[in-house]
Amino acid sequence: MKQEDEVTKLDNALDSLKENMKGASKGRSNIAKGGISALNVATDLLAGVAVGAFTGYYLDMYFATTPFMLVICLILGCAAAFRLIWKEMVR
Amino acid sequence: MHNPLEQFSIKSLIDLDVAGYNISFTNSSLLMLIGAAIVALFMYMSLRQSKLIPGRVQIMGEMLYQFIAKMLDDNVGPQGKAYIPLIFSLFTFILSCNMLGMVPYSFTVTSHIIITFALAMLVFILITVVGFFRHGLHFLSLFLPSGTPLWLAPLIILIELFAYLARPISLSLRLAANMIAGHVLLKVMAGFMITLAVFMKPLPFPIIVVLIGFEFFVALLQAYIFTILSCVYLNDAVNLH
Repeated sequence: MKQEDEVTKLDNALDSLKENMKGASKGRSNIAKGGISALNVATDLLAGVAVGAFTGYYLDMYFATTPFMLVICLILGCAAAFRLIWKEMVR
Repeated sequence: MHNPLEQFSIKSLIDLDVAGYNISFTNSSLLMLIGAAIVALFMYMSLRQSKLIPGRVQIMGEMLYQFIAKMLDDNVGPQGKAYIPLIFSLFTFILSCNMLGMVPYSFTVTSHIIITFALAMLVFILITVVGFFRHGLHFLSLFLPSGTPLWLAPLIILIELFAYLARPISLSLRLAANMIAGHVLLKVMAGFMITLAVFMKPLPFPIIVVLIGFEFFVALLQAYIFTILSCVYLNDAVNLH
């Protein structure tokens, strides 16, 4: 009886340790794991700004409100690029 | 000195013309065909005589499958099982195309933005369609994270919309830029070997060896990054938030 209690106690301790270990390796951010390089961050930045620029330009052509839409959409595109980079780094 | 960008030029091997559209068979098409054939052949060989105690090739095929299945299970959960064929094909295709580009005198298929853009658009359109089919119009709640104050909501929705639209562009551009940069660097270093041999003696040679090793790693890593980002976007569509 006592041995079975010992075994179940050890099993529970092992399970909780495994949970802790899994949490520890997931807690490291993506930068620490080495999954990002500078080129990836640069392409995220470029993609966000490019999307903003394209939408701004074509909305300008459609609504004939030069250059307000371009400016607004460029700023929004910058913000979107920062958000992409933030999400990538924290993951 | 040789032009380092000449290695990315497309040469057509068999000229075909249908109704004014140029659909000739180019070296890019040839390498994509070879890449797909290698993957299909590898999987066929690994499953040909499947035993309960697997042989060596079968272990490799099963490890590849297990890698993709685990990636989907970690990111999407148990509902990710339906997307294993898509993610598996994506990963093995990009990996084989990247690796075939490392063969000397060969052509890197994924260095052209049109090809990586086609792959990224496939993933993006599929994820949007899946999201709309699963959740209906509630899928648009993806653009409004829970707990934002109401006065900030329109700005946040616009920013999230732009970030969502920027995803296929960033996905395709990342893969193409990494491939282009790596191969141009190799070509320029190889040019240095000839032109700067007086100043630097045989120094470019070990540099080129190290760079080729690094290029193999980057080829593998970029295929992995493309696949895992597709899994993360799939998780956004399948389980909102």
